Amino acid sequence: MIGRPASESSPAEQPLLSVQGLSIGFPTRSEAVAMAADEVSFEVQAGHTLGLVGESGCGKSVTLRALIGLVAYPGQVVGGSAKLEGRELLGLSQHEWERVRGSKVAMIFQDPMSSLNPIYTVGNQLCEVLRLKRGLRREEARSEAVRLLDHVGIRAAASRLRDYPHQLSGGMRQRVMIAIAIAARPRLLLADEPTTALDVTVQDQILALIAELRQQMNMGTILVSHDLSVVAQVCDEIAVMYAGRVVERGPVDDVLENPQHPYTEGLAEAVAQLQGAHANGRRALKTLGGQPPSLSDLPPGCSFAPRCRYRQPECEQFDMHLQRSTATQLTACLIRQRQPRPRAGVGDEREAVL
Amino acid sequence: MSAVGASMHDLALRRLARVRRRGIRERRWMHLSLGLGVAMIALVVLATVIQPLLPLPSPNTQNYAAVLQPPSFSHPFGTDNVGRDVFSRTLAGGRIDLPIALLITSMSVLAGVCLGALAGFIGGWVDALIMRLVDIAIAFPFMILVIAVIAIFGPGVKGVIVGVPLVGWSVYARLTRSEMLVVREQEYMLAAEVLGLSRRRALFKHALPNIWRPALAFSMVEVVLNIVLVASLSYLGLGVQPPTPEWGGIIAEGQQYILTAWWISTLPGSVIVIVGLGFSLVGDAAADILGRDLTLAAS
Repeated sequence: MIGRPASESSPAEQPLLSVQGLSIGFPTRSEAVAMAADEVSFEVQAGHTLGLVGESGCGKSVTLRALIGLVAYPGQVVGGSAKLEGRELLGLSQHEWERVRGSKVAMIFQDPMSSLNPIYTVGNQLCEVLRLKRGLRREEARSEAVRLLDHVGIRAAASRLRDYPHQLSGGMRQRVMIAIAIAARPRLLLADEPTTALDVTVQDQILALIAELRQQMNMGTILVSHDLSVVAQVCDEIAVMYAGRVVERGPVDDVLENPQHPYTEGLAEAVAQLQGAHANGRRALKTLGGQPPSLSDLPPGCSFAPRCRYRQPECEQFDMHLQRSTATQLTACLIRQRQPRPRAGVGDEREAVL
Repeated sequence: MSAVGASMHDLALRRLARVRRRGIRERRWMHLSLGLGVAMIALVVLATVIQPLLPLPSPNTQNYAAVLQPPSFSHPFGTDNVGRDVFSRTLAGGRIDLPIALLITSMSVLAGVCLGALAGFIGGWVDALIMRLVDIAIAFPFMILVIAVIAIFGPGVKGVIVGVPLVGWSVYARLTRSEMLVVREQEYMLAAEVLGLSRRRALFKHALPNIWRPALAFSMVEVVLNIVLVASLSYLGLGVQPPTPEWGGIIAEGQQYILTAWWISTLPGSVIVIVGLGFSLVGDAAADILGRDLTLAAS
């Protein structure tokens, strides 16, 4: 439905963003440190989208925040590296970050209702970024703002410049937010559940817009979502997070069609199916029992083990490192690393996901 | 069936019309109180400004041939015990009281809003320090502190101008800080940071304009209190010194004749009431227009 670029890329090419072993800790009342992100590694190619999925509190958002230097206090990046076009981001000073943000890395949020300042017009906020980040003069900024609004699909853009945020619908505001985010031509766009607050038809349009802009501007995009169907629609790669760890990584089709990690498997099964429900009669929605563990009190070994249906005693000694389990997928599961999950009947799983 | 439906429809329409009328009535009332308030203030301010041009005796001219004269056409507010024209003195007094009250109020607002915004925005020890200063300013008996400052600077206008804002800023700081704590967590503040705007810009361009309204609306009410305060300090002999005409001073001098010559204290007092009412009406309308209920904030 929504165009996804072919994900062929030469592996020799340097990735746009390379995150290695990123760890983010939060102090707890005891001596222990809660690791909101633990040894997280992934790469994003220019013009590609990485989907970051997982349950609430698994470290998706905090990982994203670290990539723009805004880990919420009192959290700290405690280790790892994140290189954007070869340049290390972690450990930049406040001043250096101010120059990276907006012009190299941009971010859009979940709630377009509150992410625009209510007392300034849309044009004012858009022009502010254009003037500060691209050094345009007042008149240039204005015409560029019109062009940008037009570009993100806002009709009668010139007259919309004078509108205040409350005069726009949710979908329009998210379009404006996207226009502001791409105003300074960032190389990497971080999208933190950009469509969660929107209704389904608008959701599709916004996702299509992000996909289109990414292609045109050759941006890398990271899309955080807990909606697998959204991820399946627009992402090239997927990284599944659980309790601060990446438990599975790979091309989105492979991962969703043939999930290796039991957690991914559970997530894929839990997607509601409308299609075929009648043919099969009523079927209860499969859910994943239990809850993610508290980050300050992780179980020994594999942190997913207590909820895992394939659990073995030796899982309690497993260090959750990622290892290739199929040709394209990396998995942090002891069982799958020993014996990959065979591919299910073709078409079967795909239907379940889309 | 359809008759019932029609009557319900009518009822709903009538109810809508009633709600609309009420809305119009409330808006009209708000505009009326704003207009009335502005008119009252403007009247007094204009009169004080053009006082030297009016065909009146100068405020300090004594006329022993006409002492303790009741109000008449040539002396609208009567004369005092040394034959000075009370109307002329009252208007001249306004040229001292009004600017001082406005000055000390705006100094309080400016200092309070800035410090409160900083406290809320930066947090940490800056917040703790500023808020403890607020506690001290509020806990300390107001009059005593002002009198102490006046004791240092000596009686006169200077003591009032320094002393009152020294305490007055604290209310605005509290008000603004609490607003800032709300605004700071708004997503558009995060968005400003994510776009790489500097913290100073985020504070001044994106946070401050969202939070000064309650302080401004409250300051309208405080102008009244400050006019009375300046007059009270002069009444106590701590503010503007006689024979300079000043509202509190005129009232204080007149009070010994209150039984025989009521006009000396009462008529200047009623001018204070008019100005006070004017600012209250404007403040009320401002609170409405700026969309905040100030009953909580002011307490």
